[in-house]
Amino acid sequence: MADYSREEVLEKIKKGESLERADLRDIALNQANLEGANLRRADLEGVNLEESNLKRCNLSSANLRDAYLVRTDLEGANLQKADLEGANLEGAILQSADLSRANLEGATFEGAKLKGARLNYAQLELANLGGAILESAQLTNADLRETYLGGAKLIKADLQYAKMEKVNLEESDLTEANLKEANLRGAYSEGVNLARAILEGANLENASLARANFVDADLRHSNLKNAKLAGAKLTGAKLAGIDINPEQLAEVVADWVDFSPEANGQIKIKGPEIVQYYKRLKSGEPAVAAAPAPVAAPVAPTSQDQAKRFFGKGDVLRNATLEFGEKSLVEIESRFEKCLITLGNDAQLTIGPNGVLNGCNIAGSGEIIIHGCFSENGSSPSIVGTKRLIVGKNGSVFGTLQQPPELTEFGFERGCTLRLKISKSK
Amino acid sequence: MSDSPKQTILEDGTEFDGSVKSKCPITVSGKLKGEVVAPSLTITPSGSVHGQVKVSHLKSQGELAGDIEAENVELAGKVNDQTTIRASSLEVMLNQPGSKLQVTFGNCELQVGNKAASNDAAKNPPAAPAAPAPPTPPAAPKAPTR
Repeated sequence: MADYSREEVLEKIKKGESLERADLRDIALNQANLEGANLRRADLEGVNLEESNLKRCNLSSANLRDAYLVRTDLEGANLQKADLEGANLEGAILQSADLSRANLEGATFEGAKLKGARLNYAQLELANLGGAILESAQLTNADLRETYLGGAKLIKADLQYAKMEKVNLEESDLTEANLKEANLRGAYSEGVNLARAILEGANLENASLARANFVDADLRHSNLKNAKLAGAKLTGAKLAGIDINPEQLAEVVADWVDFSPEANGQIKIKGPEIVQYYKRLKSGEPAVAAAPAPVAAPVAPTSQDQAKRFFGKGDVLRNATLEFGEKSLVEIESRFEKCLITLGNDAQLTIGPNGVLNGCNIAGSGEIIIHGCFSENGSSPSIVGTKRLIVGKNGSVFGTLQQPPELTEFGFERGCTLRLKISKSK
Repeated sequence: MSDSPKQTILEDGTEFDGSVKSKCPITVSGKLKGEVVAPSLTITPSGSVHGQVKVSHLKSQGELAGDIEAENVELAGKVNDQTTIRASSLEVMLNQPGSKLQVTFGNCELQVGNKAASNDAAKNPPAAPAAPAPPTPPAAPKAPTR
């Protein structure tokens, strides 16, 4: 039984009295003026607030489960930690409202206006936000798994680290949205507009992205494995460090893309050359365009006096002592066991994706690039005096490194595996 | 973004010794010594954090020391002696030619990634799953008694 009748509630609000923790369950408060009311922790389960004015109300931690809020005006309202599970907010006005950490699971927001609303850490699993306006809304760390956002406007929305597995973004507009490190695995996003969006480190594995617009988007270090990209537009997209099957890139439409690690346009690859370029990059072969300082892209030899040694896949070398002279270029795709390797000044040793160095020691002031696996086995430190150590995203290093007096320069790409002890020179 | 979310900021010139637990991202431009628990921690070039850190996201351009635990780490600046960094992912950018080192490490330990410590870890790509059926919008609840 509710504490008050509709008339009593309206009278109290008119007098400016608080309704904090009040039991108002199942009261019909439709088309009522409740502007600025304090309803903190109030029980409003199943209440009818259709077309009511709740502007700037304090509804923090209130129970609004299954409430009927169709076309309700909640502009600037405080709904932090409110429970709106199963509520109907079709066409509601929630501009600049604060819904941080609110439970909105299964709620309906179809056509609602949420411009500038705060939804950080909100639970929106299975909610319906079809056609909703979420321009500049804050949704960092929000739970949007299996949420329906078809046709929604999310221009400049902040969705960093959001959980968006199996979200539906069909034909929605995310121009300039920030989706850094968001998880969109298995998202259904055909025709989505992600122009100039930030998708750095995002997981788009298995997502349906046919006809998606990625023009000038930042996709660096994102995972696009098995994503469907037929007809997706990628002109100007930043692709350094992406994880994708080369054949997927054959399906995209692009005049050019940018593979520079800093996304500064220094490695522009024309449309017809993208697949070949990416294949070379993946296999560890020298790339056509020279990067200024990529973390893991192979560095092309620059002069003819650089002797190159290549150890191919399938070969095994055990208990060998190898010395490579100044400026040598050494590439290992085979397996080395218990070998002692000395690198001369400015020599470069690349352990390719198939290369394995087990129980080996490397000494000298050269450069080591690891796309495969290096592991020490008893004798420590296993890497001594190296000038530069770069570990690519699929590379792994298990060992101890002793730096030279001038210190080692390090480059680690996201995704690499390290069990590395670093010590200063003795 | 037009509106910035709430942040805890320790400004340059401020020193803090103790324990900080926050639900907001923390930015340190001053000196912090002790325990830090937060969703994210940013250490600016003038900032330093010494102690125990437990965060989801760590971005350091300043000085870092102690026992660090994070999901994702972006590292530049200086990592002092006796520091252990445990992270699911670590990113260290190379310096531009001619510029000073992006990051310098003292005697420290890095434990990054969750892969098993096997030399012959299989590198088989996962099998492609079946195409997902597009999710449809759930039905809106009906109006209660008015």
